[in-house]
Amino acid sequence: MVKPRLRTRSLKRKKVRTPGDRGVVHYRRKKPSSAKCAICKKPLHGVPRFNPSKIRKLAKTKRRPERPYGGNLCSSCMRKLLRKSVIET
Amino acid sequence: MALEVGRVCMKTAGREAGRYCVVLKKLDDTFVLVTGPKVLTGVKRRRCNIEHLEPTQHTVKIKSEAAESEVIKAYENIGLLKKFGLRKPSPEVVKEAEKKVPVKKGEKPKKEEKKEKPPEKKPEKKPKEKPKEEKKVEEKKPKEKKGLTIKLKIPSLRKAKKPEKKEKPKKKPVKKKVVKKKPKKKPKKKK
Repeated sequence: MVKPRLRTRSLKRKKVRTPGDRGVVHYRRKKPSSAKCAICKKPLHGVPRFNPSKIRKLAKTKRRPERPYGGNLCSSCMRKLLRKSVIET
Repeated sequence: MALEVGRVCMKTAGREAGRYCVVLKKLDDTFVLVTGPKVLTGVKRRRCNIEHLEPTQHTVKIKSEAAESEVIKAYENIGLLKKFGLRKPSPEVVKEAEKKVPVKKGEKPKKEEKKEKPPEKKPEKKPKEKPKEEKKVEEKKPKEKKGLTIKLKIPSLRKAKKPEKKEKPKKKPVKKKVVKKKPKKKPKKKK
């Protein structure tokens, strides 16, 4: 019987073959989904895919690109936004 | 709107995106010299691709390759500082910033170099290198050679920064000597 704390579906199962040629199930934390652009929904570059506890240990410059809307919008969508703002003013 | 000298633009790419800058000089079909100035808006005096600039309606009256203080004055005269919500930096800060940016006048830095030997060599290289790069940019028009030109320029920008801090340049020649000695010793041991 599996330990009760491992019965949740928030863990991911991985089947592993041991050196003694025995099938074993390992339980792992699920990886969070990749960050996406808020406008075009494309996956963002430069945003790491760690659990929040690991992300907190990173330097701020390693959590997102260093530009306005970095980590929220992709670069092309940000450019369009800025171009619009220039034309309006 | 065309990108002439004095056109106020917004940078739309990189870490300086969303900040205003002024065109100082046209270097190439694709590149332009630009400043914020850095003290005012945060855009460094640098070469910039035209595609990464969005021109605004405003133009500022300046000569090509004007100094930082002249650009700030020109901003003030039109009243752009209030429009953009920028704070005017104190004149002392502007003076310091202008010292750091080597303006192309080659005469003044050379006189200083002759007095002190160690800092001589590096500042001399800067004025010589920079004009070369600009010429290269003008010569190499086709897009294929872009990669080559960029590689050449990046190290030169780094060299330009070094003389600001006097400690760094002294260390580097020492390191090189040490590195040269090591390979000589190794072969002797092997024999």
